[in-house]
Amino acid sequence: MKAKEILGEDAELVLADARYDSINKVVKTSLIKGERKWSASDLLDKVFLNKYVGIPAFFALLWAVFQFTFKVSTPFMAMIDMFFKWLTGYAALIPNDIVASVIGDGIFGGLGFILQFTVPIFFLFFALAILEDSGYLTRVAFVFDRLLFKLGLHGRSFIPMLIGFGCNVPAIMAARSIEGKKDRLITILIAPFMSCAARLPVYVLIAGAFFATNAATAVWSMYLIGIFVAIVFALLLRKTILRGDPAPFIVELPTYKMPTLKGAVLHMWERGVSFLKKAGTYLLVGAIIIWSLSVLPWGVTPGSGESLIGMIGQTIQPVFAPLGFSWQISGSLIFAFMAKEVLVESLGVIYSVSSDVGIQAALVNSITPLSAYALMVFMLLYVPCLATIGVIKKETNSWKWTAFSAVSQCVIAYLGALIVVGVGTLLGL
Amino acid sequence: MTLSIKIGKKWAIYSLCIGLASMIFGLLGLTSGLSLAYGVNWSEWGISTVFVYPDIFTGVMMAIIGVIFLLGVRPQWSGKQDAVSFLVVGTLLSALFFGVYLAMMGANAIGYSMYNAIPAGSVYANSVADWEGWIWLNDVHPGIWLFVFVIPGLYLTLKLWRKE
Repeated sequence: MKAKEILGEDAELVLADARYDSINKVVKTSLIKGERKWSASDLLDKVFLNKYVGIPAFFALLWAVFQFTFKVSTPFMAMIDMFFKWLTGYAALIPNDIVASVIGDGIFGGLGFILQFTVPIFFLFFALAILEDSGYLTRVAFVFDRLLFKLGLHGRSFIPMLIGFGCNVPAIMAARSIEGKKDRLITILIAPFMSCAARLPVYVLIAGAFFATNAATAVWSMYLIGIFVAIVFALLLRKTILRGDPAPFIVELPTYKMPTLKGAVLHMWERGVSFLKKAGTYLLVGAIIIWSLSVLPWGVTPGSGESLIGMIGQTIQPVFAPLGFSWQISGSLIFAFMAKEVLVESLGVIYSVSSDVGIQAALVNSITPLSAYALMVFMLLYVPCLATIGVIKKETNSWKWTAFSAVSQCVIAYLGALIVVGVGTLLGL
Repeated sequence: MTLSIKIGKKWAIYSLCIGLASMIFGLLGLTSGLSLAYGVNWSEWGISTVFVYPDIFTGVMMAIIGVIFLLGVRPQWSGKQDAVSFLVVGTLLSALFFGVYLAMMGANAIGYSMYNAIPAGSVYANSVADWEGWIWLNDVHPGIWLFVFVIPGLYLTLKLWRKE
């Protein structure tokens, strides 16, 4: 503050000006200027880093990514869906009812169902790999720095946020590259709002059921809301409990490169295979646990209100009643705390259906399109998974910040969904 | 840095045409998409979706591409070499969107062939019900056919790029 009073302006800006003055002096004495050919990177940067069209161009590219991810994957998802229907037909032939139910309703109905979402996840990673390999994603951080710095945030925060589109765990770990303690903490706290690939199955399912031709746009809107909430939350933190000025953002922009198919496929596989591993391990265990809760006590109609899962759902449902969520959805949200994909898995088991069409029909009958969008917003802003909580604890080395992160995400998710329902109701939707 | 004024003016006129076309078709798509949300379907007035595609965001994206082309018009007219950037990026974005729209059309074609291959009433019929009644013309819109007019720009850009 004292430096600001003496210098008349922000000390960081004075330092930056002095730094550039020194650089200019050195350049003037050592560089002979001549006619220079514009490189491809110069040409592209002129537009992609433009202060007026840089951000709209990014949103346009992101929209193209989701059109590709959502719409191109649909026939392949239908193929996997048919494959599991075929397998379920064989499971029904098993003479032992319990075994047939575990395999048919538990494994194929829950896990098998979620596997069809492997396709959009792989497509999303493929598209992001192309953007990353081309050198464009680094530019996005640079373009957003102008906006973020004005809001008092660190431009480098946007890089972990972009990584968060894939998975929030490496995104939080990437915050290590940020120097200031407060800047780093803010980045860790906002990274979970970035919509990771695990949320994609939920969006694809709900948007496909309720928003038909505009499904891809509904999914895209989730990514924009995620960025918006992250920025607003960061601003709130900066103005309240984490006061201070952000450090200046200096980044070396790599030259643009033509992405190769091999490189993009390799990147896609490296990231996408973790989803397959997750499906083969704890999503499988999760499917069996959820199935057990849906059929116990033995003899009740599977997934009914009398089952254990039904009791849990009905107990918690009043909390979600203002959002218009049914007890089936409310119960599934508890399991989604482990990982977001589990919501889809548990809905499959609770509704006793083994295809997206079946779940979509059940959802359409139980909630309104407005509540469906609110559910998408809730899933976007709610705690991503247990692994994220674990990594926040590890990176902040504080239970206080970990608890703050988890609680704030739950509160923001609830408020976000409530705002959607409130505004939608006011608009007569 | 300067560019031959003669070539610059040619580019400026070309960018103006493509930019205006993208902008106009984009805004028409945006407006018809908004009208559709309120129950007014322009196709009932005989306006084909091939020319006016009623989707808000497809329209917005075309308008953004149009703006990028248009921003390059003035500097190209005055022969500034870096003005070619707007033509290059506008062309690249048009090409990218063209590729995405084409992939979407291809995906629908695959879905439709599955729909035709599966007998009605089969246990698998629900999985492919989305493609019932699909025709390829439904997926053709200005974002696809306008790309044909962008090809000369792409050629011109590459040619000059190599020369420079």
